Amino acid sequence: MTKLKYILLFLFLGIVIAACNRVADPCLQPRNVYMLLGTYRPADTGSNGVDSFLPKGILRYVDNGIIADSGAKKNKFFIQLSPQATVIKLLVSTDSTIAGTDTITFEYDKKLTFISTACGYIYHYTIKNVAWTNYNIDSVVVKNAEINGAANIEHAKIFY
Amino acid sequence: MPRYFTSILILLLLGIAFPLHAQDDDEEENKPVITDSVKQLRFSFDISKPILNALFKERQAYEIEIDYYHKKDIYFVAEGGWGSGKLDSTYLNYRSTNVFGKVGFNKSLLARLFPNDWDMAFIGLRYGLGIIQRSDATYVIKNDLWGNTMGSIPGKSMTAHWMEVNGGVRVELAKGLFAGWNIRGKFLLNGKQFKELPPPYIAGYGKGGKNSIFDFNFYLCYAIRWKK
Repeated sequence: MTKLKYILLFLFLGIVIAACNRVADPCLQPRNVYMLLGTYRPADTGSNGVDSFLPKGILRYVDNGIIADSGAKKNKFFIQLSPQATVIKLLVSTDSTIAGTDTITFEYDKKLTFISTACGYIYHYTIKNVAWTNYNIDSVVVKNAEINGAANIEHAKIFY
Repeated sequence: MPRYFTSILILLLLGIAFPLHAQDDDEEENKPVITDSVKQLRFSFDISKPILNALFKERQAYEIEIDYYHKKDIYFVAEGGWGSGKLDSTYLNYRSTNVFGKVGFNKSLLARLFPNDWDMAFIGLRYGLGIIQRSDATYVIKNDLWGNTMGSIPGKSMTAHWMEVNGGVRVELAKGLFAGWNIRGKFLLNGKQFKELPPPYIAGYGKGGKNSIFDFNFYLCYAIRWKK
């Protein structure tokens, strides 16, 4: 009978252990990737530029009019590329009092990427081309074409 | 990985410490030499799996084991089974089914005290092979700004190879009728194949996306014996 007690105890423990191996876990990872844009003034030497804080920068999606990012005295802006398109147009204004709003157009490829069984798939992007208008903007340079959720990566520099 | 080995070791030590047979040094010295004059073939069914199947509908498995007593406390082991898994989440929906087989051996750590003593605490090694069919998967990419995107990934046949280190006990409750458990550390050998959209559950192994896993079996067994 003692043997049986031990055996039953281990059956119970085993079921508890096995129950921990659940199929579905909660998704704890970010499910969106963002493109980071920095604003700069051309430097005297080199191509990196000097930080340029916009008085009141506003980046707005042309397609739906939604503000992607904005802020006073800011030089880093996040945008989300659309998984349902391969081109995105942004209206970029430096200050509401300054006339002239530029347009930046990014053309990109998208790649379906598996994250985990808990989070499923997301899209990663590769910037192929960029075009801009020159009311205030001098140039736009793509520094890191791959948009894959890597932290602290600036993808493009906007020079004023 | 080392934590699995540690856990297995602790459980093995617990198993050995069971009062299956009270032994002391004197008895050890005086114990009779057991000749391997009887062969044993044991059929085992993992009764923990039907219980878990009832508790967790997303994973289903059935496992059987056959072991054959060779000699010198070595048992040759063959295992097999089948099962399925399904994942129904906000982001992914798919299923998998599989069959599996394992071969290996167990080495008893307890010397037999008399010819009919078939109780054992053991360690063992297995090679496992699973043949898996994963269904088409549908995914949803949720995006509050641009709207949701949906799509599907075609189904796929896959093969899983793994090794197992295991330990456990078998106790003869009545003539030929055993109960016992195995605790297993499993290590997937071809994990790269399962990096993208792994099967939700591989019967015989466990969760598809994991390169190492810890598992438990509880067996009821029936043994037949014959003389050489």
